[in-house]
Amino acid sequence: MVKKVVCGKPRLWRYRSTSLPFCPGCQHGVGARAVLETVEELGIEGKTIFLGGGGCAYPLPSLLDLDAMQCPNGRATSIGSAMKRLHGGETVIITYQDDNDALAVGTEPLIHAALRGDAITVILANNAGYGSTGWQMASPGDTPVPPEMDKPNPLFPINIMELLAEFEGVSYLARGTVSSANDFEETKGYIKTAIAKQMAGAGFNLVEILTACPARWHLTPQESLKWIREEMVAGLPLGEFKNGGGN
Amino acid sequence: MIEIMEGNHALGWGALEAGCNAYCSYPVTPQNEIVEWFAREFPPRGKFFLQSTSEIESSFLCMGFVAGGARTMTSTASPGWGLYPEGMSHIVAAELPLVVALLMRGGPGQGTTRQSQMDYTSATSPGGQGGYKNIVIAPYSCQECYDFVQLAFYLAEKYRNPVILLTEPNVTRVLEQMERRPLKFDYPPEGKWALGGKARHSDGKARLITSGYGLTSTEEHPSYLSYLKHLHDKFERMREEVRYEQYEVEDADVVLVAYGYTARVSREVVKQARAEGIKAGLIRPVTLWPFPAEPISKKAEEGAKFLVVEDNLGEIGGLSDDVRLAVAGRAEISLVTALDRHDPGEGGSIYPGKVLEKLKKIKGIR
Amino acid sequence: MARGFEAIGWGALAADCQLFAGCPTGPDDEAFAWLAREFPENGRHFVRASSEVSAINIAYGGASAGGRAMVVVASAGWGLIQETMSHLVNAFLPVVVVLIQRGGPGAGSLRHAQMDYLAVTRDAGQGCYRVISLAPASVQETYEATQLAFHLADKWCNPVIIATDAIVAGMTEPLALKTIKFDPLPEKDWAVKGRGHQPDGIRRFLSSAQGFIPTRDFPTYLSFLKGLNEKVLKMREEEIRYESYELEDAKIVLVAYGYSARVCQEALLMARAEGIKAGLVKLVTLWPFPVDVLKKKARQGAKFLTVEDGLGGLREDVMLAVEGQAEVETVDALDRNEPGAGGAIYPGKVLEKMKKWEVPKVGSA
Repeated sequence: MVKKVVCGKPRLWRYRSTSLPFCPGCQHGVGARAVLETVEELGIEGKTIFLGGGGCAYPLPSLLDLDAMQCPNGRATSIGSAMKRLHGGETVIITYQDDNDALAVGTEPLIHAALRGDAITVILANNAGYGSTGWQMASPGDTPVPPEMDKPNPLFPINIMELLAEFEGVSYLARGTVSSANDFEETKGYIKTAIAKQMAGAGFNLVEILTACPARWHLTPQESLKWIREEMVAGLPLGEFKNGGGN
Repeated sequence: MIEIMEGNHALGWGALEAGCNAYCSYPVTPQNEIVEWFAREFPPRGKFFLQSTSEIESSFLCMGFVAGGARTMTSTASPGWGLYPEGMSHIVAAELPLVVALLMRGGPGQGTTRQSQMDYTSATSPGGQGGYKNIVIAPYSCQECYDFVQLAFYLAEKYRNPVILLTEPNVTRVLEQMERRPLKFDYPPEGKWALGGKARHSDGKARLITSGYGLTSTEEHPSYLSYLKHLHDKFERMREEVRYEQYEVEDADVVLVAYGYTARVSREVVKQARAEGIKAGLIRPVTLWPFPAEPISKKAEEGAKFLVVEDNLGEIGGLSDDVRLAVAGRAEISLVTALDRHDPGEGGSIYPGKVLEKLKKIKGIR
Repeated sequence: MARGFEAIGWGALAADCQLFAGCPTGPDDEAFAWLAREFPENGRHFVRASSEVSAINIAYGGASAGGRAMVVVASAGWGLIQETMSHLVNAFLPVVVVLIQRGGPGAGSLRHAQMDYLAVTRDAGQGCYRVISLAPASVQETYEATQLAFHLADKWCNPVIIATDAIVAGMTEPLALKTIKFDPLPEKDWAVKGRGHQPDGIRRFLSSAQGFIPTRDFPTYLSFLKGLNEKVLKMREEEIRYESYELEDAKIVLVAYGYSARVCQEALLMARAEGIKAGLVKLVTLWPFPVDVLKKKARQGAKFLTVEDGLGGLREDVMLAVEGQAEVETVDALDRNEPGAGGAIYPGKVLEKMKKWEVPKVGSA
């Protein structure tokens, strides 16, 4: 019988207190949980390296019982590319980057890691904005409250799936949410597939998770989840965008 | 066995000898010969070569290699060096080793494609955020390229801090005789910081690497202040690594100070001067940071005059600043600078004749 | 009442800054919020770039077109702009860079610090050059320094840095809005705008490889070096700015800038109240450095206490200025009042260090 965790803290959290350093309704904790549960279920915690990016998710690497690194903003993909070369199949490299990190400062590293087909797994937690620097709008655009900060610069959303699917070195691309138990399980499935691709040496893979940022969106947590389901998904559809290819 | 090779390749052979197993950089003149050497020699030996997409990327890819446990090197030239400070600051903050070969060319900006000595200050007084220090070593021959790159790897790991080899194509592009002799260093026991998945570590414990110790409390550095104190103490200890060479300095009443190719020029000038009865000498800093203030201070105390020879804008800064600090007002300092180059084009260099001319002026000889 | 962040914006508006480009990083995001709202409303361009590298290059473009351009960066992100700063210097282009200092190195901390002194006052990018830097210590000074920065950048065709810190930028103080009138400057005849738009119909060409690529002003590299050297020496001679307090009879001279200078003003009062003959040189420009005033005091036998929330940058310039003639001590980041990222230098600590020195009191020789 397969044991499945249905509630409780993942074993790999090592923080002492009961609370995480995130806002109420923030889904960085949930996104990270999806990754950690998958790592536990696959039994790969001994060989996993967790590379965290900048922004609100910065504290994550210091809270986990995994070899981890707090990387400068935008650079987790580069750092992962280098580490993967060194350790090869002996390790599983997972990055956890938000949209500000991977789709702005970090676009050069991201695109080139994908072009090279570096077998790392990028978890892109897209919460449509820059949280920790005061909630500016991020490249993915489309937010519920037009922020006064970016009115002069209407930003067109970027669908990273469309961009990366073209690259030969990319083996798996998927987008999910963690807005409900079903969504959470589905996204975990995507993460599992992505990691399996990495372990098979099959090239670059990325799972985008649409995550809520109620503080920045000026919505309640429930309204945020609703907004993800109804508005965000309309512009950034869910599902698998590529499954196959890579080295 | 004596061989003939260029300094660029000597850097590569020395790195190999030192156990370097990862190299990443972005091509830019005049360091391309180094990139090509590593591209040719590393992969067949099972070592990692990666050409990056920009110098910013180089610095962070190297950070990844180092964090993963590789003995890593990168190289760049002046225009690319301007893109390194962010990466360098993070690598220093995370206390990771790295060897950086920096080939100077005319600047600022795009500058020229030929040699200069204009990055003295940005190497010794680093331009990234946070006010940190790196050991800077200046080879002046092909042999020194080979020897000092090995020293650099050792010092980088000893202090868990990047070490810069500062040179230029007048030294690295020239073919010279050299001998490939391995140097032995007492490397510290393998550091317990590299990441590889916690199962790989003997104690099975997870490790964390971070460049944000003011944002994250760790067992090693529980507070930002304790971390700053630790860094400060480390930089102070690094000062013990000062190295320099003295040539005919004992009885000299005029002392030239120079490194790199201008030190070769200055040696020639000292010989010519001595032949004409002038008591000239040369203090050649080998480490530019830590700077050999002591021998300079000693000669200043004795009443010697100084002639700083650097292919840089000495009136603005560079080697001349460090000499002034060391002299502390006790002696006259004259300069030979990039404005004294023999040719107005990019190939202009500092020639012995010009230096001798200024030397004689100091001595009041026509 | 306004915050330092806002004063930057008000100053930029007053100076007719036409283009702002930036990428927010803590703790400079509050400046962004203000600029994002006010710039478009005042007909100026606000560009939110994808990174600091991108931002400084957008500003490079604005400057090349003859406009007044500004970027705001924090210490984390400062390293990313250095290549382009070097290019701006070579190309003789004006850009105003506001640096809001935070703890370093690397990601450091999100709170205040004064650790970038050497990086700001020396050439942080490739080549040998210098850039004027201003260090405001109050909201009003921030407003005025911003306007001055644009003037100096245009005057010298060189970038100018405003090196503030998270405390000065974050504080709220009274602000009197008054546009400063500067001496008139020549037209930007060199700006690139399309040959047909040039009054003389001749194309303009800007290059950051001046000398290597012959340009109108510099046909050879050596001529370019001479020109740059001359410009830097002139800036160094003509643009020194500082304030001095109780310097005349001072036996201990405090040297500080930014928030530390405010701390020293308090420490000065405390010291004088206890009879210590202390004085203060508050830097307004970090570069050029007020060498002569310090040299003079050194010859008079004064001692120097540098007060800086960093790891020893300012001290080097004081040592260079006094040339071995005087004792120099430091209050630095290791003297902060508490170990967390919010630790700061307090007047009590400065007083404590002053008292450690045997200094003749008021009323004695």
